[in-house]
Amino acid sequence: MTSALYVQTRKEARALLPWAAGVALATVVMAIFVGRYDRFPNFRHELEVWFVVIHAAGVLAVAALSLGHELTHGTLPALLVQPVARRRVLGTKLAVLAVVAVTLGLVATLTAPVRFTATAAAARPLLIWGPAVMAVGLVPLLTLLTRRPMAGAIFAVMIPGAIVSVAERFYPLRDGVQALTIGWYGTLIASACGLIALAYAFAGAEAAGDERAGRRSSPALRQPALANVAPATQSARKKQNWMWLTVKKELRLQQLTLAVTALFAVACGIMVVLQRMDPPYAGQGVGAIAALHGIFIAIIAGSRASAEERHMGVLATQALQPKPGWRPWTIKVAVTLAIAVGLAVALPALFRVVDADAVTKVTESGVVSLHPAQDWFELESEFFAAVALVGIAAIYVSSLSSNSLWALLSCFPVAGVLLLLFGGLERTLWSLRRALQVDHLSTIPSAMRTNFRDPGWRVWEQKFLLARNVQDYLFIALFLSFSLFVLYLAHRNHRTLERGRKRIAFQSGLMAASLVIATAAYFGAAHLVWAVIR
Amino acid sequence: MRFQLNYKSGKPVYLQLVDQIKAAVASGAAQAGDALPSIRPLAEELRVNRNTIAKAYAELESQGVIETSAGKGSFVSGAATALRKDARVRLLTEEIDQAVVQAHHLQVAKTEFLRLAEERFESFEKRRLRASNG
Amino acid sequence: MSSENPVIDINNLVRRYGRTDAVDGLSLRVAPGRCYGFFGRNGAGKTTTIKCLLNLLRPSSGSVRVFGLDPAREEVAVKSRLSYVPDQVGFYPWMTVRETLEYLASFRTRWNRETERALLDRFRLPEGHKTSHLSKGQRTQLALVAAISPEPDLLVLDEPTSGLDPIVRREFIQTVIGAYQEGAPGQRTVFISTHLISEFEGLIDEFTIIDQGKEVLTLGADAARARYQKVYARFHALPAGLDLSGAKLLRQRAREIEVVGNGNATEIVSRLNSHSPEAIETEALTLEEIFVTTVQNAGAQA
Repeated sequence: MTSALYVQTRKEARALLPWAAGVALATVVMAIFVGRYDRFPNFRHELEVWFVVIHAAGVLAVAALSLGHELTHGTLPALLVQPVARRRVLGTKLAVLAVVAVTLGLVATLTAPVRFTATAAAARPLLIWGPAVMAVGLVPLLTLLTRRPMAGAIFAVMIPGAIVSVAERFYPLRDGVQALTIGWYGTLIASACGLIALAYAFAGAEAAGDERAGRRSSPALRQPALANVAPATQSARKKQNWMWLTVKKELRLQQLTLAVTALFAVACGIMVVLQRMDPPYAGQGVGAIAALHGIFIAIIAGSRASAEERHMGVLATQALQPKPGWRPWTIKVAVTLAIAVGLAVALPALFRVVDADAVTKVTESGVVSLHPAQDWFELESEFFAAVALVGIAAIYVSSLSSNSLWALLSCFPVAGVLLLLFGGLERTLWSLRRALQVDHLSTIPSAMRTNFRDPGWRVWEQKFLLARNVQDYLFIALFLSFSLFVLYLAHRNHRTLERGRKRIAFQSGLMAASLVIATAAYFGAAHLVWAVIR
Repeated sequence: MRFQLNYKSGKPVYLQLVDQIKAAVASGAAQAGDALPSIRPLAEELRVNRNTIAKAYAELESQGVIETSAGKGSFVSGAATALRKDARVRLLTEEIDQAVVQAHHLQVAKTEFLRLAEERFESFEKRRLRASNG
Repeated sequence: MSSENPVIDINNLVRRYGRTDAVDGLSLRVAPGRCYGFFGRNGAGKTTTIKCLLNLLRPSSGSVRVFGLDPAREEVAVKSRLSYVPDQVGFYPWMTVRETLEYLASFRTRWNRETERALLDRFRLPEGHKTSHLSKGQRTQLALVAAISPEPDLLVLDEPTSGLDPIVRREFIQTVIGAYQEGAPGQRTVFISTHLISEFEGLIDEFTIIDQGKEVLTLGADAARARYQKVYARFHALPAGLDLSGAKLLRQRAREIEVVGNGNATEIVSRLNSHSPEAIETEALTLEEIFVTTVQNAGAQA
């Protein structure tokens, strides 16, 4: 390799490798995590799905960086002005990207916990190598066409999904795995076509130098910042206008999130239509997709919350508004979480309405309902909390990132670290819970333990329930205060324009310490509550 | 040698340089054999195009005011001395013209003007004598 | 000069970009070795023109030739002989100054190490600093070092000194005059698009003023200054029947009058003299004043 080629390759590698390492870390940690739950096959199956999701999303997000980092740094015009054939520029980028994608694919293959059922074996190429292939063929093309790094990665996912769904119409999964094979080959073909299209698109690409998302965004996004500078003599009516403007601005900021949901809705809609047309066609449950969608939406919405404005450069203006800083921040958090939770819940709710009679399957014994509508309720109550949690975490990561694609990518190593921690501490938490329960039970007089007809049991039952309720509320209260603490830290990051490693380390330490304190407080208080009630 | 470029005079820049160098030679600020600043530093200092300086030097050389030797630079030529008196007188004429116009505006008559000129000359001489003695 | 092939040859360029910046039938020619100024208001079409020169935008119609070649067809051949310093310089934030220069040098066959070293020393750029830690002036200086070191035949500058402090601006211009034109002054062409015209007053040989996408005026700098003259006259009492045709009125007060003539200054002066003014003065316009007058005129006529 000549030294010129080496220098250019090294630069591409430097742009991608740190994030690729983060994704690899998350994948490996997830694999380890899954491996520990062999005893719970259902849970393990869900975790396996998450493993695939993390791998796929990670590879695609890193692929978006290949052209995306030129867009975010504003170096695309400078690159295209160099006296070098565009073919070579693109070739260098794709070569490095291919190496990274293949490496991540190998990491996933080696650590993949998916058992070798017939379906899984057939799905493996599509699920593990599909993202790698798309990373080279489709994501750079879409990033170039949309000139938005995040959009490129997100829309690339739709293509294999569409192929598999359509293939399933003709080759249902329960009859065989042709749908998946078709999906795999379809993805390969689509990526090859994408690659060719990319070569042409890049050769003819125009780069006027204002692709940085900030400059292209409409003035409407910036005006609220100025409109908020209201005179000191503010009537109550003016205040309303200001809040409404801020809400509108936040909604505009989340345009991409809404677009993603719209696409998911379209995909689900197509599936429901197919189900209706041909009842024996089961298809993927809308529920599974809805769960994935919910978490994705939370991550995307959260990562755009602070980072996008930082990237656009409007934060300084906002920091100068004559308003206490926590108000716009509260609105921002409220809108972001509302969008995340709202969309996450609205999508399945919408389809519940449409699909209320569920998918039925005709068997010899009669019509059997496959996805009973009651499932949705269970899904929502904890789902709600999970989505909000993920959203808050993404908001925090976003407050430390200088643009939304990096915030999204940072969620991977953060998720990896969190999984590691949780996995490591899980035993401790489990034993603490057991200790609590033992503590409960040990106070029951031995006489009653043997005689179950004793009317005293009623009393104990009520005490148990009361204690349980109080502990639950305590848990919720501590949980909420921790979340608020994280949001407060994110607010501090959002307001001051400085970020640095020391800050991150300091805040991580603070959060870890407060978590420990909160956990200790919970268990201590739980014991106390029981003692009091007893 | 100090140069003062006036973009408001309407005169091409290189001609202004030519005239200023000729004036310097005429007034004795630049003597025969003095080195002229080289093109690049002068262009940088005046923030003027190199071609302009080069053109000015070429013009001066064609008029015989300076001589260029390859590798060593440009020097005021000995032949420049002949221009001295003409240039000096012309410079002074310009100044006097301006004073005359002023006098007209201030409504000072010609006899008054000439009397004033003599008085100023004498006081200048006295000051020079005092400066050289004390 | 005109018999040689022009370095830049634009003919009836038409290109719309965005809502404001658009070029609508622009023609201009830059001869080799000249310092060519390209003046216009914000959004007049300067940046679009330059992007068309560099194949960052493709013309809708009309032709653009650099060194006689089409930048869209013969990209590498054209770009290997020119350098570009944009107004918003983009660097990779993780790279140090040294690494950035190595990276940019890797694209070029010719790179003068001595010039690079001399300029780095002159600007006192810290080589170990990351580009994200440089000030705006330092970034521009780095871009200039990277533009001059490959010894290109054409240097394209787009608003290079906007937003820089006076010292950096002076050093910039001095570097362009000094280091850039060092090797072969007859072959080194500079194309500057700017609206800080007064700074580049001495540097510019020839200029074009563009307004609303169209060329308004193309002249040599000296010729322009000779042609556009301000005439100021003061009268005892403003005479009636003063013939001011062919001149643009700048200011008129009780006894004074100031007009701008376009090549007919002597005629105006003699006309005014016929009314016996108390004082009459002429003064050439600087390039910036010419720009203001011309563009205001064009705007008024449009």
